[in-house]
Amino acid sequence: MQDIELALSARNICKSFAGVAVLKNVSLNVAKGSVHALIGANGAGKSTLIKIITGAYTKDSGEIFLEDIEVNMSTPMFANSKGICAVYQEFSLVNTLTVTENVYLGRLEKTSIGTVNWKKCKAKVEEILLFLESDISPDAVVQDLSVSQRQVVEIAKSLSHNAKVLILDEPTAALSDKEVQVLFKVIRKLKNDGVAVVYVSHRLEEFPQIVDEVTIYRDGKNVISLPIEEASKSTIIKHMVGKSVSKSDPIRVKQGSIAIQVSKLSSPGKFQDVSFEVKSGEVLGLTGLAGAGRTEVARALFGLDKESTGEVKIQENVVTISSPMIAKKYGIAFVTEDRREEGLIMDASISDNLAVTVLERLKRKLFLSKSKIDHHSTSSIQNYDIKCSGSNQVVRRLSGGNQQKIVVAKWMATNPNILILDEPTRGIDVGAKSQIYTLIKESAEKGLAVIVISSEIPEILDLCSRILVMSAGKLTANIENVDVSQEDILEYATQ
Amino acid sequence: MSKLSNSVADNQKIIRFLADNILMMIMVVLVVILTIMSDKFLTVPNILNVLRQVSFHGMIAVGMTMIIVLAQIDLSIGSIVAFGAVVNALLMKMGIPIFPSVIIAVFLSGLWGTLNGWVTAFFNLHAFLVTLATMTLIRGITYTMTGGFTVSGMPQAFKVIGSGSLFGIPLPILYMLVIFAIGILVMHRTAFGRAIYAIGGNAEAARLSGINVERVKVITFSIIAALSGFAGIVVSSRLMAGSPELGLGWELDVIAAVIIGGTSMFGGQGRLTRTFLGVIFVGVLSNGMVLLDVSPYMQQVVKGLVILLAVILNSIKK
Repeated sequence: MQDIELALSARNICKSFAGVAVLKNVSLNVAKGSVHALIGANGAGKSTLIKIITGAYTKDSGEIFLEDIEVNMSTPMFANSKGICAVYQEFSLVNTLTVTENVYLGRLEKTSIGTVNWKKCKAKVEEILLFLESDISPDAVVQDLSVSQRQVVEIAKSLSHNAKVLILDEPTAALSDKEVQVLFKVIRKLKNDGVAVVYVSHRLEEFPQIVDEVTIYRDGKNVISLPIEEASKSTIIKHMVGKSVSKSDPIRVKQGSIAIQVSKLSSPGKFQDVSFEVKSGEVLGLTGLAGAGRTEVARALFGLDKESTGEVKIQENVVTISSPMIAKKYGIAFVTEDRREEGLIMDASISDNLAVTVLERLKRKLFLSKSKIDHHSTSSIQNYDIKCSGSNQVVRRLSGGNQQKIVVAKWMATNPNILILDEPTRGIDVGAKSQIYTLIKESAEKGLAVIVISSEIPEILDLCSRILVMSAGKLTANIENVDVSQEDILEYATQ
Repeated sequence: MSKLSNSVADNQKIIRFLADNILMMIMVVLVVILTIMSDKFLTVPNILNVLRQVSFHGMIAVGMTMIIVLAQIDLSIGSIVAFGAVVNALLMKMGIPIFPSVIIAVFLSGLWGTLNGWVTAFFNLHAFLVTLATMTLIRGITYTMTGGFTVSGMPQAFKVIGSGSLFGIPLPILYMLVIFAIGILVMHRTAFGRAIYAIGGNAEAARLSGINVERVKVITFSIIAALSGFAGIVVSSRLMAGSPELGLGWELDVIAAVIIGGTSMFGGQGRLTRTFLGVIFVGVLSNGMVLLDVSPYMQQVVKGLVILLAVILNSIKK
């Protein structure tokens, strides 16, 4: 370690919130020109450390060195000026402004008479985009760009600060496989340019392609740092959870009658002629690359697509599902992929969030019964192992895994016959993941028809007894999960 | 270490407590000062006077709290106040008995809210725009109905509605208290009330949870409109006249009382008990300033500063 030049060294960082220690003597050493993965289950302390490094939080104790000089990161602006930049999962771009204006937001170059020197700004942005080998126009308005292009704009913004340390938080979560490769190319370029990249991600399969070294945290402490050659997926998971996780067999329980049958479901510009059926007790996987139309099909089944056509039969009756309310009446539950925007009321309590789907049932005569609500939230918290300080805690303060459990719990409370889960394990830790898997299994055993939508093919292979693959809005495969490999599915997904 | 962070946490708790309750504390201080400075202040007649003065805004503030928790706004209430008063006056002059006439006028007032809510929900418009338009529309219709004149000559018995009292308490105060009580019950103990909070907190999540967002909006707007119409009728009973100019500018006073009560303009958060305090606070402040002979111009300055203070305190709380 001695002879490697460190770009960033955080040493013995401690941080507590309201008396609860979140980081206990945590360290992170990132070499210049390397990609360093920071891994840990949700709640392990990754985000807190990153916020301390970027000046969003102040540390209680410990030191941060940049190229061997100790610095006190007082504000995000100061960290930026020192060359520490972060690109978060939720972008901080102004969607209505151009790329140039976003990159230079708040620090547009001025001419001698005080007006904005657009020429100079644009030229600089062009230069950065050229370096990133991107074809985005500096004049493009951000809202017209794709997610991966927006990410490039965020990275360009960091580079305009002369970033020496670039922190990427779950950068591949919203990208298609092809876009991931473009991102990796950009990261490699940055690396060759001497930038140290801190890479926070749950997608362990991607690590061998891009990461040089990994550091694993658990419960606010360092567990281990390893070069990537020694960090296989199972090794990493073992260190993350403290115990080894075995690969599970797909869920196969006794199947009943057809719960939902979809014939020639189409929606202009989204998907065409999608037909399939799900039996009760069956776990059906729906996969494909980003933009294949998986989520769109689910939204149509849940009454969220006004333009969809085709026939949906539930328990042999043809039904018209024109709104989520009606979908709920037919026993459909839908756990959306975007729990922050669509799944939860982030500033409301756990109890309120759990009650929202079953308000009618929590009544005693005309009024809501406090004891019924309390009983409902306590039993949900217990049954779904939601880690919290109490049912009055605000949902925003929970980890992603616990938030997801609340979304699942509030839907299971409706006693659905058909459970649709869209990316149920996105951005949640390994522990919560296995709990969600168990829950899917139990639901199937109870006789629910389960549809799991996921872009993580191994997850689909682990869970589902039958797999649908979509590509460009069309169903390209409907296969039993017997001797199916990841390669087979990718084959269908790229048809 | 932990001692240090504990004290930091304690400090934060204290700051939050102060921000939460500072208006209450100011009110206590105000009451003490007023009691010392004016022997009229802490007397039963004066207290009833203050309560009666705020009761009209208070009734509507119940609806406005629902609207703001829903992350909406309603600017048309002042016009509906006049509409309710005028329609009721005209109906009674046509010979319709008092009770049915009031019911019909409240119902018709409520329909304006149904329109507000329907347009807002189904065209997915901002309620500010919709109610800005209907504010002018309803006022114009009200003027047209009377030709711009005040309607008078209602039956004497009508006077009881606004000027009568029960056990020595003026009826408008009782109306306000009953409406607040029902409002609190609705907001916290009914599925409809919780749906308001859910939609205001995250409309998309609420919709995906199977809540009928449109229906809740339509009903809430109808409630505030009906309350406004009723408040207008009570005022017109006190005046024994239905003026198309009633309620001018009330929307701002009512919104101010709700905001002083700490309800967030972003929706999803707010309490009717706090709105009640906000309403009382405004009343005590006005009454105190009158008793202390503060000039009407200066009174506005003070009110403005109080609203500003309330808004700042709310942002600190976050």
